Amino acid sequence: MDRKLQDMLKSGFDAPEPVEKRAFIRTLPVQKVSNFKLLCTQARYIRKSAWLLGAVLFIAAALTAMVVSESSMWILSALMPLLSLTVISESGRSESCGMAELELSARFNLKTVFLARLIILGAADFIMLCAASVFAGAGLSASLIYIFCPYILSAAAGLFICRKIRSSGEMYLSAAASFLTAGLEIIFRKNIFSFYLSCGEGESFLIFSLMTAALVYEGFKRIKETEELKWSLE
Amino acid sequence: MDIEEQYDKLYKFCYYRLKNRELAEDVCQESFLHLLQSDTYKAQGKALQYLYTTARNLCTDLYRKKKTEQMPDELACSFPEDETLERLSVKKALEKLGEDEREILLLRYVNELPASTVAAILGISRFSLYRRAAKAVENFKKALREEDING
Repeated sequence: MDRKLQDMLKSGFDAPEPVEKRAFIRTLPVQKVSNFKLLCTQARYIRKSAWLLGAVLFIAAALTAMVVSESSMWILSALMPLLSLTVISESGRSESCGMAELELSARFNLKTVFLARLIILGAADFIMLCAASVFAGAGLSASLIYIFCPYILSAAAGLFICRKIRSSGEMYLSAAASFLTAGLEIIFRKNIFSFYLSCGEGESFLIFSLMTAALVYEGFKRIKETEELKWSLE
Repeated sequence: MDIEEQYDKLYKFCYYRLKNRELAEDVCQESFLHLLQSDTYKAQGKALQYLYTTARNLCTDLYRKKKTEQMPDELACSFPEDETLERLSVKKALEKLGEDEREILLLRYVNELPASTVAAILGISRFSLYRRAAKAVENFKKALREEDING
């Protein structure tokens, strides 16, 4: 059916405005969505480029992990901070696209969406890090120092920058922080290797725990910031 | 499903069956409440089908119940002051069609329901729906031409 005829039909089937529509819709219970369904929905909205970057880095890390020896683990270590870029880029997406204000008033507000995306990407990255450790055949200490710590350090630094600097350039600065971490891993590879040799599993785990605490702190701060933004808008 | 959008469409459907605003809104709201209580159809992705079938049945029940009381007909004298000439001829052309044809046109082309949903609401096959819809459009065009000539 052509558009003109359809418009004519629509005009022919006109009806007086419903008067109780708003009042009725307000009384309807808000349909709850399970957390799992929310995560599945949000996973679809994460940019393909973020998944692609993660996949490319993972393949590169997996291939590297298969050939590196214990003394050349720094190659793998230098790749890990770049993986955190996927999390950082998604965490600041609403603000960089100018959608933060709108998302605050949406059904799933910015805080929920932010947390959901952080969980999805964090879980995906965690699986990749674990897989990289397995491929490299690294022990607990090597995994924590060479694979997990660079990633966590870079992610925490990225979140810190996004929290402190409020401009469109925050993403570039976060990316720079990731590359800087990767660069430092390369520059200080000998020092890190000797540190790795000298410290036991306990010390590695302590460093890992401290860095994780810093990351969790930054994550919470960032989430709290979305609440503050909400207050300032009201 | 956008509830606001579907509310308007379902209300229009009810209005054209009952020809009364208040009753149409009551039936529309009752259909939504029925749907919200039933999880099965929502899970199967047949929410629209369920909504329209419920509304259709409720309209039929109401029509039968109130037949003796003579329902007030609002449709015949609805807001004549803002009627354009074209709209009037479209309405007259629609009046010349049968009830079934009007229902198909409303569901398929005004409310823009998928063919499978319309077929399920009317209890006919898709093939039959396509045939009937084509016939309804043809008759509507014919009636419209007649209206233009007479008008």
